[in-house]
Amino acid sequence: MTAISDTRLYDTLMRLPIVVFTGYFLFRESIAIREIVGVHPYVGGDWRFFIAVAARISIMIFLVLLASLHLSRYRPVRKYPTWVPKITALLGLLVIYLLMLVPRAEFNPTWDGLSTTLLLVGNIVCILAVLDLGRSLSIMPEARRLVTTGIYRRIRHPLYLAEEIALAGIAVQFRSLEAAAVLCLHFYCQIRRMDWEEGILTAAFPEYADYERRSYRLVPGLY
Amino acid sequence: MLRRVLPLLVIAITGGLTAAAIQFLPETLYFPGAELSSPTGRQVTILDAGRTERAACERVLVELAKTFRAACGDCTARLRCVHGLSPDRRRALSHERIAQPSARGLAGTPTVVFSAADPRMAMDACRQTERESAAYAPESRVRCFAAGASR
Repeated sequence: MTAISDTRLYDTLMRLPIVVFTGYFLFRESIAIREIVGVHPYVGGDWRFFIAVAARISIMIFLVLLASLHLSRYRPVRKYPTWVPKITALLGLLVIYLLMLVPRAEFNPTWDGLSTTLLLVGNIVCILAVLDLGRSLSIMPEARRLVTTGIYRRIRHPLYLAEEIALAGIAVQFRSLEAAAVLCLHFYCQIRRMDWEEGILTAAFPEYADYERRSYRLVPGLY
Repeated sequence: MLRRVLPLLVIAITGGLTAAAIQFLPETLYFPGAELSSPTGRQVTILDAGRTERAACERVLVELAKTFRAACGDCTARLRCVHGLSPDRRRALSHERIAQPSARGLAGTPTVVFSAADPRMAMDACRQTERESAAYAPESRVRCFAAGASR
Protein backbone atom coordinates (compact mmCIF):
# COMPACT_ATOMS: atom_id res chain seq x y z
CA MET A 1 0.00 0.00 0.00
CA THR A 2 1.30 3.50 -0.85
CA ALA A 3 2.04 5.78 2.11
CA ILE A 4 0.30 9.18 2.04
CA SER A 5 3.69 10.90 1.90
CA ASP A 6 4.47 9.05 -1.35
CA THR A 7 1.37 10.26 -3.20
CA ARG A 8 1.30 12.95 -5.87
CA LEU A 9 -1.33 14.88 -3.87
CA TYR A 10 0.99 15.04 -0.82
CA ASP A 11 3.86 16.19 -3.01
CA THR A 12 1.66 18.91 -4.54
CA LEU A 13 0.38 20.04 -1.14
CA MET A 14 3.94 20.27 0.18
CA ARG A 15 4.69 22.81 -2.54
CA LEU A 16 1.84 25.13 -1.59
CA PRO A 17 3.21 26.71 1.63
CA ILE A 18 6.24 28.15 -0.14
CA VAL A 19 3.98 29.69 -2.79
CA VAL A 20 1.85 31.29 -0.07
CA PHE A 21 4.90 32.49 1.88
CA THR A 22 6.52 33.88 -1.24
CA GLY A 23 3.33 35.62 -2.33
CA TYR A 24 2.97 37.25 1.08
CA PHE A 25 6.58 38.44 1.28
CA LEU A 26 6.57 39.65 -2.32
CA PHE A 27 3.50 41.71 -1.43
CA ARG A 28 5.28 43.15 1.65
CA GLU A 29 8.37 43.98 -0.37
CA SER A 30 6.29 45.59 -3.12
CA ILE A 31 4.64 47.89 -0.56
CA ALA A 32 8.07 48.78 0.86
CA ILE A 33 9.34 49.64 -2.62
CA ARG A 34 6.23 51.73 -3.36
CA GLU A 35 6.81 53.69 -0.15
CA ILE A 36 10.43 54.36 -1.09
CA VAL A 37 9.49 55.41 -4.62
CA GLY A 38 6.70 57.62 -3.24
CA VAL A 39 9.30 59.75 -1.45
CA HIS A 40 11.64 59.81 -4.45
CA PRO A 41 9.60 59.25 -7.65
CA TYR A 42 12.46 59.82 -10.11
CA VAL A 43 15.96 58.52 -10.88
CA GLY A 44 17.62 61.75 -11.99
CA GLY A 45 21.15 60.30 -11.88
CA ASP A 46 20.81 59.54 -8.18
CA TRP A 47 22.60 56.19 -8.08
CA ARG A 48 22.38 55.89 -4.30
CA PHE A 49 18.61 55.80 -4.59
CA PHE A 50 18.78 53.46 -7.59
CA ILE A 51 20.91 51.00 -5.56
CA ALA A 52 18.53 51.21 -2.60
CA VAL A 53 15.64 50.16 -4.86
CA ALA A 54 17.83 47.56 -6.66
CA ALA A 55 18.64 45.95 -3.27
CA ARG A 56 14.94 45.42 -2.65
CA ILE A 57 14.25 44.26 -6.21
CA SER A 58 17.08 41.71 -5.81
CA ILE A 59 15.33 40.29 -2.74
CA MET A 60 12.13 39.90 -4.77
CA ILE A 61 14.03 38.11 -7.56
CA PHE A 62 15.58 35.79 -4.96
CA LEU A 63 12.14 35.00 -3.49
CA VAL A 64 10.71 34.26 -6.93
CA LEU A 65 13.70 32.03 -7.73
CA LEU A 66 13.31 30.18 -4.44
CA ALA A 67 9.60 29.56 -5.03
CA SER A 68 9.93 28.56 -8.67
CA LEU A 69 12.68 26.07 -7.79
CA HIS A 70 10.45 24.31 -5.31
CA LEU A 71 7.45 24.35 -7.63
CA SER A 72 9.23 22.75 -10.56
CA ARG A 73 11.10 19.95 -8.74
CA TYR A 74 10.81 16.21 -9.46
CA ARG A 75 9.10 13.83 -7.06
CA PRO A 76 11.67 12.05 -4.83
CA VAL A 77 12.86 8.47 -5.27
CA ARG A 78 13.99 8.18 -1.66
CA LYS A 79 13.17 10.17 1.50
CA TYR A 80 14.63 10.47 4.99
CA PRO A 81 12.48 8.32 7.27
CA THR A 82 12.57 10.43 10.48
CA TRP A 83 11.01 13.82 11.27
CA VAL A 84 14.00 15.75 12.74
CA PRO A 85 15.71 16.28 9.36
CA LYS A 86 12.40 17.31 7.82
CA ILE A 87 11.68 19.85 10.57
CA THR A 88 15.25 21.22 10.39
CA ALA A 89 14.95 21.56 6.61
CA LEU A 90 11.65 23.36 6.93
CA LEU A 91 13.08 25.62 9.63
CA GLY A 92 16.01 26.39 7.33
CA LEU A 93 13.55 27.55 4.70
CA LEU A 94 11.29 29.47 7.05
CA VAL A 95 14.07 31.51 8.68
CA ILE A 96 14.67 33.13 5.28
CA TYR A 97 11.19 34.61 5.59
CA LEU A 98 11.66 35.26 9.31
CA LEU A 99 14.61 37.48 8.47
CA MET A 100 12.36 39.75 6.46
CA LEU A 101 10.13 40.36 9.49
CA VAL A 102 13.00 41.95 11.42
CA PRO A 103 12.94 45.81 11.41
CA ARG A 104 14.94 47.16 8.47
CA ALA A 105 17.89 49.52 8.92
CA GLU A 106 17.99 53.03 7.42
CA PHE A 107 19.12 53.61 3.82
CA ASN A 108 22.86 53.50 3.43
CA PRO A 109 24.42 53.49 -0.05
CA THR A 110 27.45 51.41 1.04
CA TRP A 111 25.41 48.71 2.78
CA ASP A 112 22.74 48.77 0.05
CA GLY A 113 25.49 48.39 -2.59
CA LEU A 114 27.00 45.44 -0.69
CA SER A 115 23.55 43.89 -0.28
CA THR A 116 22.75 44.24 -3.98
CA THR A 117 26.13 42.71 -4.93
CA LEU A 118 25.68 39.73 -2.60
CA LEU A 119 22.12 39.18 -3.80
CA LEU A 120 23.20 39.37 -7.45
CA VAL A 121 25.97 36.82 -6.83
CA GLY A 122 23.56 34.61 -4.85
CA ASN A 123 20.93 34.79 -7.59
CA ILE A 124 23.50 34.02 -10.32
CA VAL A 125 24.95 31.00 -8.44
CA CYS A 126 21.39 29.85 -7.74
CA ILE A 127 20.43 29.95 -11.44
CA LEU A 128 23.69 28.25 -12.45
CA ALA A 129 23.00 25.45 -9.95
CA VAL A 130 19.43 25.09 -11.18
CA LEU A 131 20.60 24.85 -14.79
CA ASP A 132 22.61 21.79 -13.71
CA LEU A 133 20.19 20.42 -11.17
CA GLY A 134 17.07 20.72 -13.28
CA ARG A 135 14.06 19.61 -11.32
CA SER A 136 15.93 17.44 -8.78
CA LEU A 137 15.67 20.04 -6.05
CA SER A 138 14.05 19.47 -2.66
CA ILE A 139 13.58 21.14 0.72
CA MET A 140 13.58 17.90 2.75
CA PRO A 141 16.51 15.48 2.54
CA GLU A 142 15.30 13.45 -0.44
CA ALA A 143 17.03 11.73 -3.34
CA ARG A 144 15.73 12.51 -6.82
CA ARG A 145 18.65 12.22 -9.26
CA LEU A 146 22.40 12.48 -8.79
CA VAL A 147 23.90 15.52 -10.52
CA THR A 148 27.71 15.78 -10.68
CA THR A 149 28.23 18.02 -13.69
CA GLY A 150 28.60 21.78 -14.22
CA ILE A 151 28.88 23.71 -10.97
CA TYR A 152 28.18 20.42 -9.12
CA ARG A 153 31.46 18.98 -10.41
CA ARG A 154 33.39 20.86 -7.69
CA ILE A 155 30.68 21.87 -5.18
CA ARG A 156 28.19 19.39 -3.79
CA HIS A 157 25.73 22.02 -2.47
CA PRO A 158 25.92 25.13 -4.67
CA LEU A 159 22.28 25.98 -3.99
CA TYR A 160 22.98 26.20 -0.27
CA LEU A 161 25.99 28.36 -1.04
CA ALA A 162 23.77 30.59 -3.22
CA GLU A 163 21.13 30.77 -0.50
CA GLU A 164 23.73 31.69 2.13
CA ILE A 165 25.26 34.43 -0.05
CA ALA A 166 21.82 35.85 -0.87
CA LEU A 167 20.70 35.63 2.75
CA ALA A 168 23.84 37.47 3.86
CA GLY A 169 22.84 40.10 1.28
CA ILE A 170 19.37 40.35 2.80
CA ALA A 171 20.78 40.48 6.36
CA VAL A 172 23.00 43.40 5.35
CA GLN A 173 19.85 45.45 4.69
CA PHE A 174 18.67 44.82 8.26
CA ARG A 175 21.99 45.11 10.15
CA SER A 176 20.87 44.05 13.62
CA LEU A 177 21.61 41.37 16.21
CA GLU A 178 18.31 39.69 15.32
CA ALA A 179 19.33 39.54 11.65
CA ALA A 180 22.76 38.09 12.60
CA ALA A 181 21.05 35.51 14.86
CA VAL A 182 18.68 34.48 12.06
CA LEU A 183 21.62 34.19 9.65
CA CYS A 184 23.52 31.94 12.11
CA LEU A 185 20.41 29.80 12.68
CA HIS A 186 19.96 29.43 8.93
CA PHE A 187 23.61 28.45 8.47
CA TYR A 188 23.30 25.83 11.21
CA CYS A 189 20.16 24.41 9.57
CA GLN A 190 21.94 24.30 6.20
CA ILE A 191 24.89 22.36 7.68
CA ARG A 192 22.50 19.83 9.21
CA ARG A 193 20.58 19.59 5.91
CA MET A 194 23.83 18.87 4.06
CA ASP A 195 24.69 16.11 6.57
CA TRP A 196 21.33 14.41 6.12
CA GLU A 197 21.17 14.99 2.39
CA GLU A 198 24.59 13.41 1.91
CA GLY A 199 23.46 10.47 4.05
CA ILE A 200 20.43 9.80 1.91
CA LEU A 201 22.28 10.37 -1.37
CA THR A 202 24.99 7.90 -0.28
CA ALA A 203 22.26 5.36 0.44
CA ALA A 204 20.43 6.01 -2.83
CA PHE A 205 23.41 6.30 -5.19
CA PRO A 206 26.47 4.03 -4.69
CA GLU A 207 28.65 6.40 -6.79
CA TYR A 208 28.03 9.26 -4.32
CA ALA A 209 30.94 8.24 -2.01
CA ASP A 210 33.39 8.65 -4.88
CA TYR A 211 31.81 12.01 -5.86
CA GLU A 212 32.17 13.12 -2.22
CA ARG A 213 35.92 12.39 -2.31
CA ARG A 214 36.58 14.50 -5.40
CA SER A 215 34.40 17.53 -4.58
CA TYR A 216 33.96 20.20 -1.90
CA ARG A 217 30.86 20.59 0.16
CA LEU A 218 30.35 24.34 -0.16
CA VAL A 219 33.46 26.40 -0.96
CA PRO A 220 36.11 24.93 -3.31
CA GLY A 221 39.47 24.58 -1.56
CA LEU A 222 38.03 25.46 1.86
CA TYR A 223 35.07 23.37 2.92
CA MET B 1 26.31 30.18 -24.00
CA LEU B 2 23.60 30.88 -21.43
CA ARG B 3 26.12 30.33 -18.63
CA ARG B 4 28.44 32.95 -20.08
CA VAL B 5 25.81 35.64 -20.43
CA LEU B 6 23.96 34.72 -17.23
CA PRO B 7 25.70 37.23 -14.90
CA LEU B 8 25.05 40.05 -17.37
CA LEU B 9 21.49 38.86 -17.86
CA VAL B 10 20.77 38.83 -14.11
CA ILE B 11 22.33 42.28 -13.67
CA ALA B 12 20.33 43.61 -16.65
CA ILE B 13 17.06 42.14 -15.35
CA THR B 14 17.68 43.57 -11.87
CA GLY B 15 18.58 46.98 -13.30
CA GLY B 16 15.63 46.93 -15.71
CA LEU B 17 13.14 46.01 -13.00
CA THR B 18 14.58 48.70 -10.72
CA ALA B 19 14.24 51.37 -13.40
CA ALA B 20 10.72 50.15 -14.20
CA ALA B 21 9.75 50.28 -10.51
CA ILE B 22 10.95 53.88 -10.18
CA GLN B 23 9.27 54.88 -13.44
CA PHE B 24 5.93 53.14 -13.07
CA LEU B 25 5.23 52.58 -9.35
CA PRO B 26 4.41 56.28 -8.74
CA GLU B 27 1.35 55.65 -10.96
CA THR B 28 0.00 53.37 -8.22
CA LEU B 29 0.42 55.94 -5.43
CA TYR B 30 -1.64 58.86 -4.11
CA PHE B 31 0.23 62.16 -4.09
CA PRO B 32 -1.06 64.93 -1.83
CA GLY B 33 -0.95 68.30 -3.53
CA ALA B 34 -2.14 71.77 -2.55
CA GLU B 35 -2.50 74.85 -4.71
CA LEU B 36 -2.79 78.10 -2.84
CA SER B 37 -3.67 81.51 -4.31
CA SER B 38 -3.31 84.71 -2.32
CA PRO B 39 -5.26 87.96 -2.97
CA THR B 40 -1.90 89.57 -3.92
CA GLY B 41 -1.57 87.21 -6.90
CA ARG B 42 0.98 84.80 -5.45
CA GLN B 43 0.48 81.13 -6.16
CA VAL B 44 2.04 78.35 -4.16
CA THR B 45 1.94 74.66 -5.03
CA ILE B 46 2.94 72.18 -2.36
CA LEU B 47 3.74 68.58 -3.31
CA ASP B 48 4.44 65.83 -0.82
CA ALA B 49 5.59 62.20 -0.98
CA GLY B 50 3.24 59.63 -2.52
CA ARG B 51 1.25 57.40 -0.18
CA THR B 52 0.17 53.81 -0.82
CA GLU B 53 -3.30 54.43 0.67
CA ARG B 54 -5.72 57.19 -0.23
CA ALA B 55 -6.67 57.57 3.45
CA ALA B 56 -3.03 58.30 4.37
CA CYS B 57 -2.86 60.86 1.58
CA GLU B 58 -6.02 62.56 2.81
CA ARG B 59 -4.61 62.80 6.33
CA VAL B 60 -1.70 64.78 4.89
CA LEU B 61 -4.19 67.11 3.17
CA VAL B 62 -5.98 67.75 6.46
CA GLU B 63 -2.66 68.79 8.05
CA LEU B 64 -1.84 71.00 5.07
CA ALA B 65 -5.26 72.68 5.26
CA LYS B 66 -4.69 73.51 8.96
CA THR B 67 -1.31 75.06 8.15
CA PHE B 68 -2.80 77.16 5.33
CA ARG B 69 -5.64 78.48 7.43
CA ALA B 70 -3.16 79.57 10.09
CA ALA B 71 -0.70 81.13 7.62
CA CYS B 72 -3.06 82.81 5.16
CA GLY B 73 -6.67 83.16 6.19
CA ASP B 74 -7.85 84.92 3.02
CA CYS B 75 -6.06 82.62 0.55
CA THR B 76 -8.01 80.18 -1.57
CA ALA B 77 -6.74 76.63 -1.46
CA ARG B 78 -7.33 73.64 -3.67
CA LEU B 79 -6.24 70.45 -1.97
CA ARG B 80 -6.46 67.02 -3.48
CA CYS B 81 -4.91 63.58 -3.60
CA VAL B 82 -3.92 62.69 -7.13
CA HIS B 83 -3.58 59.05 -8.16
CA GLY B 84 -0.35 58.92 -10.14
CA LEU B 85 2.08 61.65 -11.02
CA SER B 86 1.89 64.04 -13.96
CA PRO B 87 5.16 64.81 -15.82
CA ASP B 88 5.13 68.38 -14.42
CA ARG B 89 4.76 67.20 -10.84
CA ARG B 90 7.35 64.46 -11.27
CA ARG B 91 9.75 67.08 -12.57
CA ALA B 92 8.96 69.46 -9.71
CA LEU B 93 9.74 66.68 -7.21
CA SER B 94 12.98 65.72 -8.97
CA HIS B 95 16.45 67.35 -9.01
CA GLU B 96 15.75 68.86 -12.45
CA ARG B 97 15.75 72.63 -12.93
CA ILE B 98 12.33 74.22 -13.11
CA ALA B 99 11.17 77.63 -14.33
CA GLN B 100 9.89 78.86 -10.94
CA PRO B 101 11.56 79.33 -7.55
CA SER B 102 11.08 76.25 -5.38
CA ALA B 103 11.78 75.13 -1.84
CA ARG B 104 12.64 71.48 -1.22
CA GLY B 105 13.01 69.28 1.83
CA LEU B 106 16.24 67.35 2.36
CA ALA B 107 14.91 64.21 0.67
CA GLY B 108 13.11 66.19 -2.05
CA THR B 109 9.76 66.27 -0.27
CA PRO B 110 7.93 68.41 0.43
CA THR B 111 8.53 70.55 -2.61
CA VAL B 112 6.94 74.01 -2.73
CA VAL B 113 6.76 75.84 -6.05
CA PHE B 114 6.18 79.62 -6.02
CA SER B 115 4.81 81.72 -8.87
CA ALA B 116 3.63 85.31 -9.18
CA ALA B 117 3.24 87.97 -11.86
CA ASP B 118 6.39 89.59 -10.43
CA PRO B 119 9.18 86.94 -10.31
CA ARG B 120 10.89 88.77 -7.42
CA MET B 121 7.77 88.37 -5.33
CA ALA B 122 7.85 84.60 -5.95
CA MET B 123 11.53 84.42 -5.00
CA ASP B 124 10.93 86.47 -1.82
CA ALA B 125 8.19 84.07 -0.78
CA CYS B 126 10.54 81.14 -1.42
CA ARG B 127 13.30 82.68 0.74
CA GLN B 128 10.84 83.50 3.46
CA THR B 129 9.66 79.88 3.51
CA GLU B 130 13.27 78.71 3.88
CA ARG B 131 13.87 81.14 6.76
CA GLU B 132 10.69 80.10 8.56
CA SER B 133 11.49 76.41 8.19
CA ALA B 134 14.80 76.91 10.03
CA ALA B 135 12.82 76.84 13.27
CA TYR B 136 11.70 73.25 12.60
CA ALA B 137 13.53 69.93 12.98
CA PRO B 138 16.18 69.26 10.27
CA GLU B 139 13.97 66.78 8.42
CA SER B 140 11.22 69.42 8.13
CA ARG B 141 13.45 72.21 6.88
CA VAL B 142 13.39 73.31 3.25
CA ARG B 143 15.98 74.97 1.06
CA CYS B 144 15.06 77.62 -1.48
CA PHE B 145 16.25 77.38 -5.09
CA ALA B 146 15.97 80.20 -7.63
CA ALA B 147 14.12 79.68 -10.93
CA GLY B 148 16.28 77.61 -13.32
CA ALA B 149 18.83 76.78 -10.58
CA SER B 150 20.34 73.35 -10.15
CA ARG B 151 18.51 71.72 -7.22
